[in-house]
Amino acid sequence: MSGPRSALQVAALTTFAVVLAGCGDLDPSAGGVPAGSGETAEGEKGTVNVGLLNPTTGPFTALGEDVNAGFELYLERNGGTLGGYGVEVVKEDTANDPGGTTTKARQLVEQHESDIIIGLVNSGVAYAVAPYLEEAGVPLLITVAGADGLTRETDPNVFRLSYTGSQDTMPAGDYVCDELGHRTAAIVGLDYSFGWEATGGFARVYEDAGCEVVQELYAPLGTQDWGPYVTQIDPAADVVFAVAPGSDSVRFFQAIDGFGVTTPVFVHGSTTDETLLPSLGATAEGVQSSLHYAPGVENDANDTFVAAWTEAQGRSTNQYAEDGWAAAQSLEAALTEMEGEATPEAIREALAGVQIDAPRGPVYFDEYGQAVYDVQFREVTQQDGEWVNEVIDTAEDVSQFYTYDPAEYLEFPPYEELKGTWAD
Amino acid sequence: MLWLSNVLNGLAFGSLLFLVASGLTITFGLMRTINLAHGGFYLVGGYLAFDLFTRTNDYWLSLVLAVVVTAVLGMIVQRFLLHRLINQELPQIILTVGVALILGDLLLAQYGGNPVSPPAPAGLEGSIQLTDTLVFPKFRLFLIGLALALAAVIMAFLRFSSVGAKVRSAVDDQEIARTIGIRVPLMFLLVFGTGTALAAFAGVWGGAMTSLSPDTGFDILLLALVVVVVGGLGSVPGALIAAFAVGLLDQFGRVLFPEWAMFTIYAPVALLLAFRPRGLLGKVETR
Repeated sequence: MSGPRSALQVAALTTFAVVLAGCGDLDPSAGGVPAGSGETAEGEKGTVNVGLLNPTTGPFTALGEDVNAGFELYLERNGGTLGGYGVEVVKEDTANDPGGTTTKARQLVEQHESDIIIGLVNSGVAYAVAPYLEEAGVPLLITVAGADGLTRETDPNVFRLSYTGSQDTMPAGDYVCDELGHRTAAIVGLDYSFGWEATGGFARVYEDAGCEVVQELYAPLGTQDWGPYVTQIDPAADVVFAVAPGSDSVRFFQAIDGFGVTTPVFVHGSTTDETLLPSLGATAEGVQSSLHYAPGVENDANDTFVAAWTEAQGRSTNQYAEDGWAAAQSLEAALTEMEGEATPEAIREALAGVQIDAPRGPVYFDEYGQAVYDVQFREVTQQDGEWVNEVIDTAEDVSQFYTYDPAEYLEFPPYEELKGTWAD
Repeated sequence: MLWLSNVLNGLAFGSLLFLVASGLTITFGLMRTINLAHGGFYLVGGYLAFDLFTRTNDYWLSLVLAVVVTAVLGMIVQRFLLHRLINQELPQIILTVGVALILGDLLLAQYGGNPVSPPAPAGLEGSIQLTDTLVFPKFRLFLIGLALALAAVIMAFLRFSSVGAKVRSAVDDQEIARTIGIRVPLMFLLVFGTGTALAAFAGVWGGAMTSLSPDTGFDILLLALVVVVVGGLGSVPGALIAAFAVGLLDQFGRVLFPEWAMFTIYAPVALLLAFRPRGLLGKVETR
């Protein structure tokens, strides 16, 4: 009954599944050639080896390249030295692969003798690499990966400048409830850990502020058609709170626009990222968001950063570029405090006490290694023909625990268990 | 009226799946060539049309050019790589996966990893008020008509032209086909070109519906493969029915059982294939 054709079908589907599973991330080329900076500038205190470990192939390429570019731009403007040390940068590609990246980290540490590793976009990759670096005694400064659990230990080896999943949305809970006066919210999130953490952080603070989550919808990562989700949004809700970064964002707003949803939309800032705005265009007009960076932040450090980046890249700054730039700034601040040989231990100790004025505003690390910073509330508007996130308000000094007591916060059940319970 | 919106949207998504699957059905069914680079050609068509549109501002010209260029690209792949592998399924799979990865990487290098959102053609932007409570995007409504029209054209072509028969005879026995004057290599070239042209055509419409990024090629290909296999290899009406069924299953699965969004498509498919391995309208194989 089942002739060669059925066998053919099975073979085709199986191979395809194997290809999918093998790549995991649909990464076209898992290779990666170490790209050294060529020559290293002389520093009066010595040299420091930095391993930049970001994806330069695969789905997160755009993010990884912006982090790298931000870091290198800052370094270049300082003549290749930071805090009196000449900086030798070796770049490796994570290719979004946890196993491969651990090998790359090992190469960076053992062959290039990196004193610090900077980067990582995917939290799965970060979870794979962090234990090795801890064991090797080399500090890790994370610039994008957002899983809450990466910065939960005191006296850390892991530092993070970018957000935890819930950090940038918790202030939005208070803001949307009290300042904007939206008393009921429908939550639309991507169905994976970042989606649960970002929506959960919002929901916790929003409900503690006395407002109510009335609906929760979760869509798989890479949902091609958001129609089925946006048509279900409860028309009685005052606001839609959404977390859908990347290409899901484009499709989400297309559906919101096409199906005539008129409820105001508030999102995690990565859903209306500057990298997405040209594609979102008018579909995201008036959408408000919360994020630790906006190109319109007013301070000297941001003026310098925006001018340098725009000149070098010819496009808007974004959170990833700022993360890279701020990473170089943090390293500079740490190195400035140091004397003698730049060992990994010395860098880790110095980094823990760092305070910088980054483009986003003042930044320092809490005792768990997580950055404490201002969160910007932003609104998508059109200025001179370009779509931008205009800053409309600011929450200052936001830690990963927001206004909660850290000990109490750490006792809460993880967001993956709370998902689906907010609307009850 | 929510149910009507759900039905329409399920049909619209199914229509997109049919556009993608139609090219696969033709190369699969007529040539028995498995083209896993189909998703890659889909992306090439979508990106090219978008690129040309931003330069020329002429939507239909961009669409035609993108389809033609992609078809030529497909024919080059067929002529220089695939034609050596007629009737060798596994090498075909490996080769076309390789082509898909190369295309994906080239697009990534050229257009970057951020998603792009090609526009709908003039006149199809925005929505239409169907009833008091039902707002539906014009573009999606149009897509349903487009899929039905395309299905009719392909079926008419296969039925009323001799190309289909010639190709099938060439697949069955190359030497006999050659002796009766069929130009076998040309047949294969044209069929494969048509398949990639249809992939590019789908890419233009799919891009406007779901946006494009270098990794969406595989997402779309997986659903299109499901449609082709469920419909029955080589059966265009089968693919149309399967596409609508998968679109509706997907839609109602996401509405009624959101926790099981993936399961609601693949479980019925697995069940169907267990009891009817040749798919809905596939012919029983007597090779």
